Amino acid sequence: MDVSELFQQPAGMAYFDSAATSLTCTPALEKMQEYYRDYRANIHRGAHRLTLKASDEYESVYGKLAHFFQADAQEFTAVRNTTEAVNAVALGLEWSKGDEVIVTDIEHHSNLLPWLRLKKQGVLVRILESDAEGRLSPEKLVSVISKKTRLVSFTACSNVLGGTIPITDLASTAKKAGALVFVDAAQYVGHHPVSLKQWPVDFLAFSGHKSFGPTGIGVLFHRKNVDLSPWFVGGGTVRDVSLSDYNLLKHRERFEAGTPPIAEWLGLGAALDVINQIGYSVIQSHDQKLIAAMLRVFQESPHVTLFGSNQAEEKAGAIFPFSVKNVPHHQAAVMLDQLGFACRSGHHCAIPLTKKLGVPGTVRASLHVYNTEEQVTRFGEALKTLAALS
Amino acid sequence: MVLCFVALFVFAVLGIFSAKYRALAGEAFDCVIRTATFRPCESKLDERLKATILVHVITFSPSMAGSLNKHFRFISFFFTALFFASMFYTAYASYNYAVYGHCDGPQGTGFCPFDLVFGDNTPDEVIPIIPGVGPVRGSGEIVLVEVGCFTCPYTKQTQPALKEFLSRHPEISLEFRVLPLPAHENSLDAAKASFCALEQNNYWAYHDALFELNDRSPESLIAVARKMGMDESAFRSCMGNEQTAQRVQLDKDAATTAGVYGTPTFFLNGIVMVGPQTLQQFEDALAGNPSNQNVPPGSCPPPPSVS
Repeated sequence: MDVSELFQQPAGMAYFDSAATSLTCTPALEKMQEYYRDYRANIHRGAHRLTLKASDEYESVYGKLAHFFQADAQEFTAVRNTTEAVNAVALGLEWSKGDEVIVTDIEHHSNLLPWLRLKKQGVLVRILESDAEGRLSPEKLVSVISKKTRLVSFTACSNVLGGTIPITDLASTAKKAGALVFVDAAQYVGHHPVSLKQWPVDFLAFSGHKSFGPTGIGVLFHRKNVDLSPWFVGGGTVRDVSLSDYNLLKHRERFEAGTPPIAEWLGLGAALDVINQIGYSVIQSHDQKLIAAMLRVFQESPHVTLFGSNQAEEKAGAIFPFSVKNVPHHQAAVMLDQLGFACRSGHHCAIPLTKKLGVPGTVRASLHVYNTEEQVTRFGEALKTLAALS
Repeated sequence: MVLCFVALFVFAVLGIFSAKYRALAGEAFDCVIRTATFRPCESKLDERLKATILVHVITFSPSMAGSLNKHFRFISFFFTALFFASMFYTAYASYNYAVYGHCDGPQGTGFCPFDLVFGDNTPDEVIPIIPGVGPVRGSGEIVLVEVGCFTCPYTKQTQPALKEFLSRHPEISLEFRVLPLPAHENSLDAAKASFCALEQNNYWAYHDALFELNDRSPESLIAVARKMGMDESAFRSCMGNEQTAQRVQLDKDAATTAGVYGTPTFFLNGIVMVGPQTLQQFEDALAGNPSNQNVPPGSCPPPPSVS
């Protein structure tokens, strides 16, 4: 199928910043417009046909999620983004003094700060260290985990390095030790299938805007058998209310206080449809082509240092952090912009990892299914142009 | 990075017209503060500026871009210093233009860019001064009127050619009207002294001597008069006399009314000649073929107002 018909590419520029936010697919945009144009009404709030239509459309996305991730529709909650999901779990679990949380040293700040904040409650945060190229190993986790470990949280794909993570091995190791497992799948869902039926995880989160959907919407999956208190309460979360008490609804309804971002939720549903329409096999195959082409480009650019693994089989995402000799990362990114490439520069919300890499920041090129090998070739030429500054 | 200093000024000026540049000026200001306190520029404006410059250079000369990237700190420091030096001289020239009417100050004669913006200080037309008021050298019927200043180097420069012209043409007499320029030190004293010499019937000898003096302080002027045999007491009294000052003012008013915009200015047969003249130019004017009625390469400009 022609993927290019599903995305509006930015004019005059190759978009290499998908790890920050992917392009929004046209069906998602059309779905949001359809809602605002044809049945704009609040959900679950009335009897007229518009609200019924909006409610049906809204509820159907839970069904899509259930099918997409092979889980129960009641186990998905609409959140703003992955960051909110991590915070929701950190705030929603009951913690005891002495509990331990394990996170890795390659995490996005959003999967680190919410846990570090628990230190005030007496929770100890322990770090699962990666190797020099960002690899995580279940064996190391065994050495860090203990009976006090309440939760292990890790990314399914680093937003900086893009390396492959042994997700199920890590999760299994954690489960064997009796810990809960949280997976940050923000960089993963757009590229790889997730089976929550098979993955031994308790929580998983991703953002719509990194998976062809709109901004402002994300998903938190949490298993029904794990107690989680709502981080917000209010309209839409209660069965009954008196002036002195309230009785919350069960399952996901209790977590979605107030009017949700309806259009964005429907847009997310459309984005999931697009992923299904393209097919993960196509996405993964295309990713591998792009990864191989990008690695060739970096191999042919001696003035460029690529961080993380340079082996295609170790890449879960087409994410390439690099630096250009004698060119500060931000300067390099601005120059690449002028040369027609949208890349990100800085620490990519992962300061501990950037420090570990021993650089003040990197330029990050991150590609997706809508990028082409021709763009990668041109990117190689742009890097050669920057070689003059080395 | 020191380039932020330049960026701050440029963006601040552009920010007067555009909010976009106001935001950039804010970033530049932050960058300047941080640079001044030896901290990295958080807004990365410095790197954006550098990248924007380099990406343009690299497209036509990669080697130049490489060299520029390598020595950017030094080059930006150089250009920043150049910028501030330029700003200083622009301010200095502005001051000169406001006070003396020329970028280069009281002795300025060359091209002044402000003239392009504000127009030069030359009036559209100089009206010939009617002779019959000032001291006259010679007895010729045709009167050549000269408006000059004893401290103006161009008035002095013209004297040899002028004397040669007068000696060749006895039919021409010279009437000198003085226009002391405030910017020239002791020019007013010299002008007064010339009229005091006139009082003692020794005008032209004293007139010629004035051009040769280096020191035109009142005491020096009196000393010269004494050496030339004039009554020192009367000369000294004349110098402080209100009537003498009025006599000078009479000439200044005449020059202003005529629209004289530089010394020396000559009027001959209805032809106006501004600036130092050659013998040939005098001859041409006499023949009715003015060769130079525009601003010459050298003349002493009066301030915006000579009154």
